[in-house]
Amino acid sequence: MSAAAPGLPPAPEVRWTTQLREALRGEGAAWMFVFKVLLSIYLAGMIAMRMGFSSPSTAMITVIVVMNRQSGMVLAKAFYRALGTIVGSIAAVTITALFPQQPVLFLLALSIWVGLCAGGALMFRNFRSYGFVLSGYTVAIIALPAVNEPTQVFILATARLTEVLLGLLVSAVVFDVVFPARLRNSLRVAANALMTGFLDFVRDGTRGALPREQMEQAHLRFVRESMALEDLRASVVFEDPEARVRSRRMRLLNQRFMAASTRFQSLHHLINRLLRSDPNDAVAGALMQLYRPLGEALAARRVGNHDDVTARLDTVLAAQPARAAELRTALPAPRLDDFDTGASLLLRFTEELRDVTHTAAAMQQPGIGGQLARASEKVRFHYATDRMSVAVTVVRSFLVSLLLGLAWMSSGWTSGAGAMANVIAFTAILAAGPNPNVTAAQITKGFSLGLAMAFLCVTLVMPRIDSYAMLVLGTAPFLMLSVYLSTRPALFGMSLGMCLGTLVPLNLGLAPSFDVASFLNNGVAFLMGAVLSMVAFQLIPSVIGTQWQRRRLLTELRRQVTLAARAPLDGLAPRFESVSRDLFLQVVTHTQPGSDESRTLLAWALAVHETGRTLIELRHDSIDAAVPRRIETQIDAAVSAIARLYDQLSPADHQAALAHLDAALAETVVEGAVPPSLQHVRQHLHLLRSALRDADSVLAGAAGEPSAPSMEPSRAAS
Amino acid sequence: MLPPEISIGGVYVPGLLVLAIALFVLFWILDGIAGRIGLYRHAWHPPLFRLALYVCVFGLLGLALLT
Repeated sequence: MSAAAPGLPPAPEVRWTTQLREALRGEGAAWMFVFKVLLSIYLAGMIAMRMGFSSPSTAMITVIVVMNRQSGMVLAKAFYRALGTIVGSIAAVTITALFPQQPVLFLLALSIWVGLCAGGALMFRNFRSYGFVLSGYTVAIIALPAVNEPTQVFILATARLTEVLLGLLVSAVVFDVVFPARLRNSLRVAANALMTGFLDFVRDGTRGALPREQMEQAHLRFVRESMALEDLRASVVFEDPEARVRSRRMRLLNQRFMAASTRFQSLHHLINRLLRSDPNDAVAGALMQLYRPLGEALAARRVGNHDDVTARLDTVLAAQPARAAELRTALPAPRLDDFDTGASLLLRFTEELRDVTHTAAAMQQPGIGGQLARASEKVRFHYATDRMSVAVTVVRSFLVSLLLGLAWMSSGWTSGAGAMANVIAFTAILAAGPNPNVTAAQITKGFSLGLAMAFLCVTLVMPRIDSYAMLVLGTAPFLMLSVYLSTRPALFGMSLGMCLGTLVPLNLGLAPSFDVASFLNNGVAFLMGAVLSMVAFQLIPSVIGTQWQRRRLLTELRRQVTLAARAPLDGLAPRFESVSRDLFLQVVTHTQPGSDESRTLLAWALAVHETGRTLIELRHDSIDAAVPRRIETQIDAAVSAIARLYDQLSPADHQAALAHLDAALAETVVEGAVPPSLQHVRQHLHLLRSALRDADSVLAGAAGEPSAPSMEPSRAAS
Repeated sequence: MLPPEISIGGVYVPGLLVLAIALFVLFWILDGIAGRIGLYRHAWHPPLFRLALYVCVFGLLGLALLT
């Protein structure tokens, strides 16, 4: 393309070996993965055949379903799959035993179970939700073939359980022992990147005011990364005993990190508000001066050594109060409130940052040798669930299985059980993921390709096979291609479909089968299952990610302020942090980056985080300080007015909240001075007031101007 | 000592399976303790070490209890 550009020096010649190496970069790992998958598949198949299990192909298919390039992911998925299969088998036996002679009641019970499991899957994240999916469709796979001979169900259930567990065991051992790709390393890299990124961001923040835009982007990044870290942690514990022991500590680190990043936002919003009213504001200048040593300490740190950072932060922290008192004397009396609020925010932020680096330093020690000061390690991570979308999922899964089951029973289609089990499995697996209709289409495409390959295999290869070694040689090329495609992320859905499409209809058993008619019958039934699940997703689109759900989640996010204002205080702060972050992330994954919607959402998330956090601390501190009765009533009124304001966005509540805050602030001054015990309460009140009066915030746009017509919450949200 | 088959609620389960599961639970606990001390840092290939140890103990106990 640029070969004939005159005047330019000729491009340096690249040796063909280098080119080849560049082209093949990553191929080694990909083929290693293919090797491990094939090894697990054939090992599981061989053991199953040696033991005389009725359908060795179930064990082989299980390997395909749990395959992942990271060892920890395979182990985690295998664990929850085992749990789900056990629960599902028990349920299958129970349901069949309850309604042995009534197909309609049986179908009803089955559909209810499938629906409930699909709903349960939405209430959890990661592989835990996968366990629910499994217990749902295992029932269909076991109980449907037994509908005409209910006495067989126990044998079917034990056979399925044994084969699936064998497949899981083999793949867990192979992926854990044979050239494992450690998830632990990814976790370490991610955690270090997050820490370095945050500390650098704080360092840059001290050099000047951060524009709102940049701060919002950074906030988004930190929230996303800290949630991703929590996801990784949940899988790493299966792979690494040391990580399992320190799992709580990792959670604590993450939670402290969240606390520090929220505080950082509050601090910067305060400084920005001061600068907006007057670019040369004396208080903002003083705060920046107070802030500077922190940035200097972070700039001088040795990157990656958390002990070093902790020691530096301790020094900064020790010097801060004296420096604050010194800067305070130069300020005019009416502005002292602003300064005190800022200085106390900064002090708390420095403390929290020190706690973060301290925890991170302890994580660098082997085992749990590094002692943790200032922390109880009992941390829980909460997720937010949208009850409405759970309900929609339950109803959809229920209806799909019920209608299909009725259609199958009245049509008398002999291979219908396979088709139906396939539909239920695909709809359950895909419902929890993003874009289920796209993935369903991909899987169907892959499934038909796989079916064509299986047909070739059955007609050309199978008749020539006389031993297990020959079976391996004959089928490996087909599987190799399908598994290799799964190493390309864009093709994963198609590759999964291809693997299943090849293995499922082949139905490798103890005796070779050359029955092309039954192969076609089963193959077409499974393909119909895939097509039907695709159609089901087209007809009843997923709720996840729709405009409607995003709006609901945003309302729920605002309602977190109500939670912060009213819920019992015990363990509220971590709960608030994790739930509001989870909600925020759920909405943000479905919005276009950089769109108006995403910007509004970010602004709301920041406002909610800041206000909720301050409310919780205000409630804590007013109990600690044992505030007098009359202040307490004003505070309570202000807190509930703010909660109502975030819930309903009415200007009247905005006015009321401001009035109560002003009254409470006035009450805290006793004989012209603020008693030391009320200092903290007063600072929180002041912060809330200044956040409410912030004309730039999204809240002001929605409910701030009393003269402006009150906007609907949905309008403000979109 | 260990019966070849154990009846659990009327279902006959191989004695070796029960042993394998019991050992699995035991190993889960021991694994945590070893991780806490940092014992696996001395092993070249920790997962292989864990697996081999499990197989050895299972084999020994199986032979000792069944004969």
